[in-house]
Amino acid sequence: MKKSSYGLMVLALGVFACSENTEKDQSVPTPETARVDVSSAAADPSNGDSLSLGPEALFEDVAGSANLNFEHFVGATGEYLMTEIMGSGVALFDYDNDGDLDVYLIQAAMADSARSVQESIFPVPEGPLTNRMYRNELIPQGSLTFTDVSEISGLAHSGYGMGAAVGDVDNDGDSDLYLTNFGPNVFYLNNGDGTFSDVTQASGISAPGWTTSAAFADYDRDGDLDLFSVDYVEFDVVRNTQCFSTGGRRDYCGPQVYPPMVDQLYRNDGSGVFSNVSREVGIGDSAGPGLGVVWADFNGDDWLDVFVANDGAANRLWLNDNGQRFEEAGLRSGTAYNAMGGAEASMGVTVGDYDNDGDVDLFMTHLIKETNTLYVNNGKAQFFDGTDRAGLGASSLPSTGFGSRFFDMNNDGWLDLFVANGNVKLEEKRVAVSDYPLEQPNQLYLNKDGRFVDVSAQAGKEINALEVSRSAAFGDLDNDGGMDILLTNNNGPARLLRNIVPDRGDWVDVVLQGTESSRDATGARVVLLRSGKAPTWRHVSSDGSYLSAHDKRVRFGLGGNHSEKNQPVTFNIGVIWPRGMRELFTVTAPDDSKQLKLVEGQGQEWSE
Amino acid sequence: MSLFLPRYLLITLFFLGALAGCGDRATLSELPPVPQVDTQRYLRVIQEQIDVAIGQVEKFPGKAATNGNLGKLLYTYEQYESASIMFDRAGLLETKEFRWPYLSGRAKAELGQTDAAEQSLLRALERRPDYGPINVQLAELYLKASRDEEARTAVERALISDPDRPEAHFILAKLAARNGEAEQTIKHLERVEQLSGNFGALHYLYSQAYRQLGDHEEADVHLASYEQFKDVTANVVDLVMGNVLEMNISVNQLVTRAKRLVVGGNNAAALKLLEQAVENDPDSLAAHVTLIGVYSSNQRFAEADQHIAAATAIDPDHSKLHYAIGVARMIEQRITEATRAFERSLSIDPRNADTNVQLGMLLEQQQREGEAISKYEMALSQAPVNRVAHWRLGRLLLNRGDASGSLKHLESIREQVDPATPEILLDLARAYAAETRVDEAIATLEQSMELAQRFDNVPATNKARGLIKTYRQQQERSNAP
Repeated sequence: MKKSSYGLMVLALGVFACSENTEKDQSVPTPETARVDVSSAAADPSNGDSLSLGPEALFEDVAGSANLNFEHFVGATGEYLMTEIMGSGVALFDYDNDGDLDVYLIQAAMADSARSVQESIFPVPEGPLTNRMYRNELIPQGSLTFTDVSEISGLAHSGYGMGAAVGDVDNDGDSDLYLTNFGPNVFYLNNGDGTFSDVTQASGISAPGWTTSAAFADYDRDGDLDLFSVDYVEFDVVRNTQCFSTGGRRDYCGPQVYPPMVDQLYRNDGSGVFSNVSREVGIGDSAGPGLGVVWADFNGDDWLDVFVANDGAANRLWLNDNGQRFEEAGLRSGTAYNAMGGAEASMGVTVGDYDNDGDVDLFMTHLIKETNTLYVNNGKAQFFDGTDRAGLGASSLPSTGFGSRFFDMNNDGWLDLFVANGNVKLEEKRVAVSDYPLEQPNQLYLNKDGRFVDVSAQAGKEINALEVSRSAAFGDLDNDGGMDILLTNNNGPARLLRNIVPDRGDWVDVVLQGTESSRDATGARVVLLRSGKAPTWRHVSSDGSYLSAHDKRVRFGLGGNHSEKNQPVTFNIGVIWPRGMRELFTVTAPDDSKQLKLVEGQGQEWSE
Repeated sequence: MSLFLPRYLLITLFFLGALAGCGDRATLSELPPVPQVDTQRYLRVIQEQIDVAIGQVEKFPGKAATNGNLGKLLYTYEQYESASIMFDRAGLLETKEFRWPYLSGRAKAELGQTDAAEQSLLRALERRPDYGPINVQLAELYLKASRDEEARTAVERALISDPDRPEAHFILAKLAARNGEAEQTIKHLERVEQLSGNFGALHYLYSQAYRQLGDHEEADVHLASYEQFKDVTANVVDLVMGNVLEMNISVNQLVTRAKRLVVGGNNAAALKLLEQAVENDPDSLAAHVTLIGVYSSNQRFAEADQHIAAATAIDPDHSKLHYAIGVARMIEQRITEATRAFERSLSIDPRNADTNVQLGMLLEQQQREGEAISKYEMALSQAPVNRVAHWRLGRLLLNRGDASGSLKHLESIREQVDPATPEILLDLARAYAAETRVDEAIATLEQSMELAQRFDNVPATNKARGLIKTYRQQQERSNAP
């Protein structure tokens, strides 16, 4: 026994490697040193399509003027319950199929359900403490204003809300809504008449515990959407652990304090019922403190894989083996850890072809003192950490990132990045001046030919405001060609950051309708083919970021300074449908709606 | 001519000399103001520590050491912005001292303030060109900013004063890796390994490089090593920063330092730090749990029991406490209680890989092999390259007659070389033999014997020798006409 004592001792010592509050607090950076003014830096002539930005603000908050008045409530009583700092999410989807994006915002409740709202240490927002559905009146009124339709739509759900996933689960042409909670999840089927029905029990996807992000996709290519739901940790209000900052101040705990949970995959059986197939397909018992999830075909085999961002533990890349099994390839693909083998606190995750080389890359947001990390794909699901090379290293060190997405803010054909920031540990510098000292400014990066430039300083005052931002959902809410951002703040107001980037390029939106594939074609890969230009690949998705669901129209930025701007343009668009069919569509983009609707089976057979 | 200078000239020279000695030393009014430091609700001992330092600055505001000392404390408690101000004050008061701009640069780097950090570090370098860590930090800063050539130049400067500095070679490996130069990366890593031994990031980088070269087998070997050493960080020699970090008396820091001491074999010093941690914060579960481990491994079970009682009073349902109890009881050979403790730990955290492996081994001892298999399988579902789980599972499957199942596990861990490898290879050889792959069995046994001799493992050497003899006889019999 003596010989093995050393090994046992080392094992014993390992148990508290991360058990207390080892995550780092620090002060807010000096913005002028951390950020770059790009009025000159962005003027890179290397690519004729790249657009420069001037000194004007790029986004403005129009939530108030658009009558989108939502205040998130955390239900804190001073006990530092972990749930308080994690929420909450938002969904952008056209619930009434009228052609504009509506907004669904998730609300929380008292973190300790045994306590009353009177015991909250923060003010309780006016109105009912339930999730809220806001109908966009852009069509037909012509202006971006919202009407609260929570009660009449049947979506005024109350609980300790986390996130949302959107998909046309029953292939009837409208979007259905799945809600994740700290507590049982809820599934609403869209009745097609502006109302929803709670079908949670019948559908079989009400998982208890603490689900964070969720995402729909047709993993088995049977023509309907399946559901992957990501679970976090086995936190229990009654057994709340006390954690402390480095100086010994009471603080929020990190996820290492609690056992991680197992993610779930539910197969849609086509009849409105889902079966939990997690074990059957090999996802089974693999636990991790999951916060983010995205579906995409990472290895180019036409089967949708799924990536899970875990908080402070190895991320998981589940490669889909012909819809039968999933093989975990996080470690071997280089996406489990950063370049140095460090497990980072992955919160939000986004996937997209940021370098326009035809495959999907991954970007994850992390804790303060860790960089956010960009994993660059070689097309075969082998990744390398390209964070520093892409200019995303140092600038992310002072912030804790959550919601984030690749999106083309200036329609130049290069995917830019927004990162919603807000600490999960007390900011030392804010302790004396704030009653919720987790605030940090958000960040905006412009993609210049595959390299990102931090343009936060000129992004607009709301992006630079000190708030505790969490989710960010992306979509063109006013249909003006600029991708807007719906930002949620923990214990604060939701912001509608309207894109006012000057001199944006031209654009075209592609809306796919599956016939053999799932109706909303989630996961389809779309390529824009233009003579003399490199192909631009995008995919249909509403997942990613953090606790969010996004506009699933596929947006192609066409670049600026085109003689054809505002003229009808003919394109070739290739589509790889979720069930594998390849079709080519030759289409003319109308100059009014800028929207192309492509139906499966109506194109020409195509091989790439 | 008189050898004595006139009195007025002497006085003038005295003042000139005094001024020269001061250099461009700042006056108090030129210094940035001392930042407000909020230590409310800090641990009492830490609050006192910082308050004393603040008091010294108030008493001697023009003294570099008092300003710098407060800066160090603020740095070690992660108040980097305030720390950098205090270091800047100290640097203005003591213009020839390199430590202040160096530490200021480190604090600014923590804040992601690349340009400001660079300026401070360059100032430090001017003052002390031969202090290697300055160049290493500059290189790290340039790497983050993707200024590779400047990073390379800084590393080369560091290597001039100290050609054996492992951090510098590691940065060269990182530079090669990001340029896709896998062979060069491996070369640099080999040098690092030579100088610094094993640590997690080293093996992770190796695995990435080998995978790039298409050598997936070698890549997987390094991934397994990565799993083994992932909590081990590179040993960095930086006396200036070392002194700063040692000022941290928070429980987490004391526990971390104690663990390092244990790994280095210095249990007595580790115990001292851990007892100090408990004194600073009697409610620290981490400190008590670590003490359980260290005392029980030193066979001081009565003291371990005291900390079991203290930890249980703090949180009786903590999975890590029960894991620690399990390990302690295992060392005491109180197998039933150890089993119960691990089971309790798993009832709280059912998927913990280490706990599943420990319990699996205990269940094996109790001939509960079926249950042990499920524990190892659970461990592997969480930690797919857990070497012990693969080994034990491979051996169990072999003993149950499932040689092909066994091979899958044992082959996956055969490449990594450490004192356990000869034993693993013995089992692997048995599995080959069971599959009638006798040639491979003998080759594997020869490899086992060679490694066993290298590690002075006499029983394994003898066992391998005996099995080789047996299998050769089998071979001869089967080849006989």
